[in-house]
Amino acid sequence: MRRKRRGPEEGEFQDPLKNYALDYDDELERSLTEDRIGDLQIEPFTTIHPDTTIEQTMVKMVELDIGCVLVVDDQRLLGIFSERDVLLKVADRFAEMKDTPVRDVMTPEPSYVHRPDGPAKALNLMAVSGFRHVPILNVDDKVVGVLGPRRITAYLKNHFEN
Amino acid sequence: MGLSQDILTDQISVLDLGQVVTVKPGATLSRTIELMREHRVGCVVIVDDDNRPIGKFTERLLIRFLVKTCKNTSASNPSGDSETGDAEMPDPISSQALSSSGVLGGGQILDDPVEKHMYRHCTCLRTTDPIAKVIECMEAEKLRYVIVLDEDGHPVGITGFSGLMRYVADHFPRQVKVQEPATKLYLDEREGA
Repeated sequence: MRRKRRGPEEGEFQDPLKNYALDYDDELERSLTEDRIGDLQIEPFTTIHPDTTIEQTMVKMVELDIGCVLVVDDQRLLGIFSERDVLLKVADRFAEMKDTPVRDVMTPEPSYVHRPDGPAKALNLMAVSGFRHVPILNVDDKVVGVLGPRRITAYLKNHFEN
Repeated sequence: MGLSQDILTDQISVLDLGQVVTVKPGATLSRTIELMREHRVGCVVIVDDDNRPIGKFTERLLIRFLVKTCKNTSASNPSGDSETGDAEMPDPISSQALSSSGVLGGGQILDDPVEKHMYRHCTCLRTTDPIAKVIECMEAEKLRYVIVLDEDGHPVGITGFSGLMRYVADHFPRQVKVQEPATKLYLDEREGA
């Protein structure tokens, strides 16, 4: 005989999430799970046009004391130029390369995250892929910020203090 | 317990310590830069005859050096820069030291000893120090690299942001390590039939 399925009692609603209580060991775990990258400090950020020369780009990096610049055209991310690019591609030939457009030495099509993504996604790129700077795009794929070592360190320290 | 507690008890020795590349103070700038490129490191530690750190040369300093030689001006200390204090800024390059074109590449400056251009202040921690100290140093002094010493005061590794990120990822593998690669949020075309 086929067993009759027993449904909920009349008037009784069984919330399927009732017994699913998220239990976090600490505030950082909660933040990685529930917060959005837009909640972190992602500005200011510096962008340059791809035709900017290497020298002009590096002067800007020194003036602003930053480790990278985002190479954009009409707010579209084309690449990233960082201190590591200077070391590996420019340092030994700076005299002959300083007037070269930065598009020739930048890291093209860098990995990025979107503003609605969780902080864990940015940390994934930094921890697993080894990137120090992660550009942030909005839903229209326009650059709206960047995350780097200082901001992530401040983010971690905030949660540890809390 | 959570990560907040673990960083107070876990020692720096549990972090992935990066390779420490060392040179003597008399090593040339060109050799130092060559080592950085060869080992793909952002920091070289200058050690004395007893193998104790007396300074460091970093990518940030390299960029400033290149820009400075190009502009043929004295060194300036930008506000907010915590890699150096006023007392530790390298000596400005004299006009006599510049090549005729005024830019790097003439060979003269590259032959300078690295001690003439290094940061003289280098924050060092011990392998037995808690990880919380790394975060404290990085945040307070805005450092990217922290030199790690053994019990005898000799450098055994470099840590900083990269090591810290891997440590956090190991603590939260379900949140950090399991992530999709960056993809478009919205598809340009409909999927399926």
